[in-house]
Amino acid sequence: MHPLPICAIRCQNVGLSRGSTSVFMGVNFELHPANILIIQGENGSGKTSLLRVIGGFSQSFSGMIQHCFDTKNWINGSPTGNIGWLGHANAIKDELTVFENLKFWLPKAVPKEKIDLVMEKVQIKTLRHQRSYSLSAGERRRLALARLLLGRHPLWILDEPSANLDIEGRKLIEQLLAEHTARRGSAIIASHDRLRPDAPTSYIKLHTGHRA
Amino acid sequence: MIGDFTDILCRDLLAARRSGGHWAHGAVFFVMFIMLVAFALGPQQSDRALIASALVWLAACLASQLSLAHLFAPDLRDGTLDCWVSDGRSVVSFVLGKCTAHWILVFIPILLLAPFGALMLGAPIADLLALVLSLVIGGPALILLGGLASALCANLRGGGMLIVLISGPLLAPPLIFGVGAAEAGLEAMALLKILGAISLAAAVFGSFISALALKTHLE
Repeated sequence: MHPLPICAIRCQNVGLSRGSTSVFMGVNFELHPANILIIQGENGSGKTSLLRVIGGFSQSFSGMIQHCFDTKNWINGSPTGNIGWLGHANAIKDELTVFENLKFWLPKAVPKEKIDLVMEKVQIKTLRHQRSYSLSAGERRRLALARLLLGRHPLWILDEPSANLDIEGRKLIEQLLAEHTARRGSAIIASHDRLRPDAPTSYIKLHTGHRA
Repeated sequence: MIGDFTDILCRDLLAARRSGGHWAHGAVFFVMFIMLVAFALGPQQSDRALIASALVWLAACLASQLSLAHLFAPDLRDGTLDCWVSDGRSVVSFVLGKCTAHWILVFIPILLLAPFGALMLGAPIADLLALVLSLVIGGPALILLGGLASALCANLRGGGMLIVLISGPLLAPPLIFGVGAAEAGLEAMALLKILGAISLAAAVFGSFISALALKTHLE
């Protein structure tokens, strides 16, 4: 088990507005390696928007996001390129088989054997040569998790990772998170499910938007 | 950069092979267009030969734009671009890879059909080489500029109409110089050079602006 690169991230008073509507505001946290942050909130409270801001997709937020790779020198912005992203959408091409989808996302430096390894881990190895359009919603989610495992990203950002998954699948996510943090990785998760990862976990609660 | 480019190119070609001939729409449209123009113009050979090159270019221009509306929208919707960007991969390579795949799937069949289309419209055999050469040199501009319009509208549901309005003016320069080069024949190297310059500029600026537009859609 190789340790991951070290990456910490912190947000100071981060807020996001769309027009005159405030989506969320005043988000503060500092996330260190081997830690997990769970973002909670009702539907429409801005969990996904916050994840996209942290993930570096949005530039139009207020406040400050910084990351660092050595615990000393904080760099402005999100650690793009070091983020394992699992959004609502699974980034799966229907025309390709399960194996081909994973091969597409395999980093250049990683040997092909890793694909079989991650398929085994999320229990979709029997679907190896199946076209992705025939997968069930839960199987698609597992395939997306397998893609996440291919990379060596120190920071995972997961948006409702357990969506469409059965109880076994939720246990799988907790197990993957335990392994990830054991390698000094960290994760930011938006979730309604009561995930109980076996790692130091902090929580943020977002409230439904205030009108400015 | 190059690895990203070939990854996208190979994925799109593989997906197209399995898509049940979706990619052939452009070529079919091209043939239909030429056939109907031939019927509409009637049997006066001498008139048709004068405008054969222009009509073939126009057909190629329209046919190459047919499926462009769906060039980037699916990757935006299904989360591929999210993961691509957060992996730290190059979005310019993504754009160039997708445009190259579109060129191979849509434009190469048009290139192969173009001489027959021109003959059908009564063009003399001597003019065919200049026509095909102008299409080879100007084709990338048609795809890249159409791709730019598609990237700008990728987040709009039913942005097809807007794509047409944006790409129309962009496609006018390659069309004008392309038809000019095809009609002037091989002696008019200057026109071919200008056409080549338009294609190169489209490759540099078009892919760059497309990448910026796609990143903006991710917000």
